[in-house]
Amino acid sequence: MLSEGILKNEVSSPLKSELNMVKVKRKTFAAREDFLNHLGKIAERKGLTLYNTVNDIFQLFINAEQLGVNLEKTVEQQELLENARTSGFILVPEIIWYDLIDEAYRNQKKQTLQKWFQAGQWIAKRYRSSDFKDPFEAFKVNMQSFTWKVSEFTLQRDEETGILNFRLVGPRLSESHAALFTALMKGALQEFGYRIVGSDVSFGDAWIRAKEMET
Amino acid sequence: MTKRIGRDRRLVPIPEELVQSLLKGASREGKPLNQFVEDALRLVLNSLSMGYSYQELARVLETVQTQKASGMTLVPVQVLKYLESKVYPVEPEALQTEWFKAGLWYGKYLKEKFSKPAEVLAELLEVTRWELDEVDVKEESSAVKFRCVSAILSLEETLFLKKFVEGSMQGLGYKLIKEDLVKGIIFLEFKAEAE
Repeated sequence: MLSEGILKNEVSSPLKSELNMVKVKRKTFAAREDFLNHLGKIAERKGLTLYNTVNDIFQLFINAEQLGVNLEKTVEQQELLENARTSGFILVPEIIWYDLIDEAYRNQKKQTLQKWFQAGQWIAKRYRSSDFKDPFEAFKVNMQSFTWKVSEFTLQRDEETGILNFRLVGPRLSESHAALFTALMKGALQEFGYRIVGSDVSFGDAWIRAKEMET
Repeated sequence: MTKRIGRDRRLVPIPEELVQSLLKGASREGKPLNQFVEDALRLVLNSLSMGYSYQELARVLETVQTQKASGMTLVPVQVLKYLESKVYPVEPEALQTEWFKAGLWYGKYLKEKFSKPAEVLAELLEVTRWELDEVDVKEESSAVKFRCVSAILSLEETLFLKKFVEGSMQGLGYKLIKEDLVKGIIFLEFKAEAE
């Protein structure tokens, strides 16, 4: 979008200048029109000119970069929190979480598995009823980012066979946690139109195989 | 002020001084200038669209990194509520103690990592406990006043939050000297313990 090759030198007229009537050497850069339209709307909302808005954005980016803040990562993390909130997730200390899980799984296994299955259905329904272009892909990407405590979360569909494979691996994944998370995924996959054709759970590992239901 | 070039691009003027900074930034990141600039526009536009300022974004980054490192995990809220509703009637004290212990560990972690850990604790709660409407912390000489408000917390959840904050503050070296708790609101006052 911006390259030395397409930068053009300009000297703005003091009368036209938007920077305190001071002569400012300017260059121009080529920007995508959709970005500029978006920027134009932001500028309008803030009562600023497009020129000042573009300058502010670049200045912001340069400041972040000089401070060693990775804006890309920052935006990713912000999206993670926002997605977690809207997906019905909450942050809790894992020490409490694992105790609760183990206790409930030990004492009320059937009801607890059922609750996790229903939670999966609810989460998937939330994605399906949202305005994501591809709700299943959004679900998959978000679940991958929410499960930061596991070492592997994969959900892959074989386009030829229509078989969907889910795998969860983590050295700290207890059998109860693996079983309950599998129940959640089964509920979600069913809600997304898949029939479970196989699954297994053990300490540190869980997998599900599912096939798309014919409509 | 912009001139169209090609089908979907326009030329936009920017001060030469800014171009020099952009060139340096691109060079530091090892990216071509056009890529660097496109990333800048895209990322800042994304965050502005979500209603975040740059300062808030920087806070979010630190928050998530801290939460990940301090043993927090993301869980489905309805399952958490279900589990708590099953365990709490049977073992109310044990569950409250667990929240206290989790807070204690968390507080010790924050104390090691930050120079103003009580403020950080309030910020972390504000950013990541989205069921809370207000989180305030006031430091007055050796005392700290902590206030959380939520319209949706149950009495049990309010108790757990209180225990977590109490544990965290103890981890920071403060002792609870006054408390006021009703469903959805906690007001706690702490005093620094002698080292």
